[in-house]
Amino acid sequence: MNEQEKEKRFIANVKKALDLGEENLDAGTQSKLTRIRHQALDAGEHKEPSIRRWFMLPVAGVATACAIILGVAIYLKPPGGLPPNLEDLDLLAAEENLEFYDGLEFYAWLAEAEIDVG
Amino acid sequence: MRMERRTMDDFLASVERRAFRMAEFATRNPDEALDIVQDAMIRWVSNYAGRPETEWQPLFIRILQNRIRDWHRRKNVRDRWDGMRTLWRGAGGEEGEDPIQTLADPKGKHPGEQATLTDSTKALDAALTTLPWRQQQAFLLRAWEEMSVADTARAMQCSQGSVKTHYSRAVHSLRRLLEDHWP
Repeated sequence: MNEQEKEKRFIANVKKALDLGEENLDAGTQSKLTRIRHQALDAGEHKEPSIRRWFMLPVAGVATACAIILGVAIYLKPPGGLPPNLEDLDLLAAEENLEFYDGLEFYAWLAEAEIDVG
Repeated sequence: MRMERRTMDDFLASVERRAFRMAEFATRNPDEALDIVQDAMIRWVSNYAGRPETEWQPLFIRILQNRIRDWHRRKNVRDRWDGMRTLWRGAGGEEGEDPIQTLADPKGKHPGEQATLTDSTKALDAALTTLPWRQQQAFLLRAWEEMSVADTARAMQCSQGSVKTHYSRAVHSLRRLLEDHWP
């Protein structure tokens, strides 16, 4: 018998022994395996959607909404000028303008008073 | 579409014993092996049971191998940490000592529990547990599961060359260790 055949026979014997070990698994272990199998099936059936999936849903929604708003803003942009919302941002960014808007009521009253006096 | 529970149950029942034995050889601990098998089952049911039935077995084996590999990684970290702690405490410890070799045999089964097993089977169990786990798993997948080199490489997530090397070394070691039983 050559080396290859010897190895083949060895592997066949090993396989037989491994099968025997598998078949003769003790009752306690077999019972535990049955239990964990049922637990695994229960866990799979009652699987909650993963946290990541729940977390990704609003993130994806916000991202989509942002993309739509940006698209609409670009579409409505007047030729040669900034989109209205960007101009508003420019106004809001200037501190002195904000003070002006804060005192708008006063200026309105002043204008009316001047008319009455005049 | 979710498969019927009965079909999945039948499949898992058909692979659970072998999966347990593979994990037990790898961990040398029946409780750890049960944990690995349960984890593999849960992952399989949750993520892959909807796949075609022809893919079930290779997918389950691959998940099982991943769990075994993760277990060894965690164990390596634990062992390194324990080694550092031992050094820190100055308790000493033999250099180069294999922690696996120092583990108590957890297969403390009742007398007569394995009476039906032959001496050769017991000798094989003992010999398999002395192999490095990659050699051991490559051997089990190739010789026991009769998987091809390519499928084994996929399951173990390594190259086909590594599988051939692991398998060849495993066969060489096992033949030497078991020559009294199977010359």
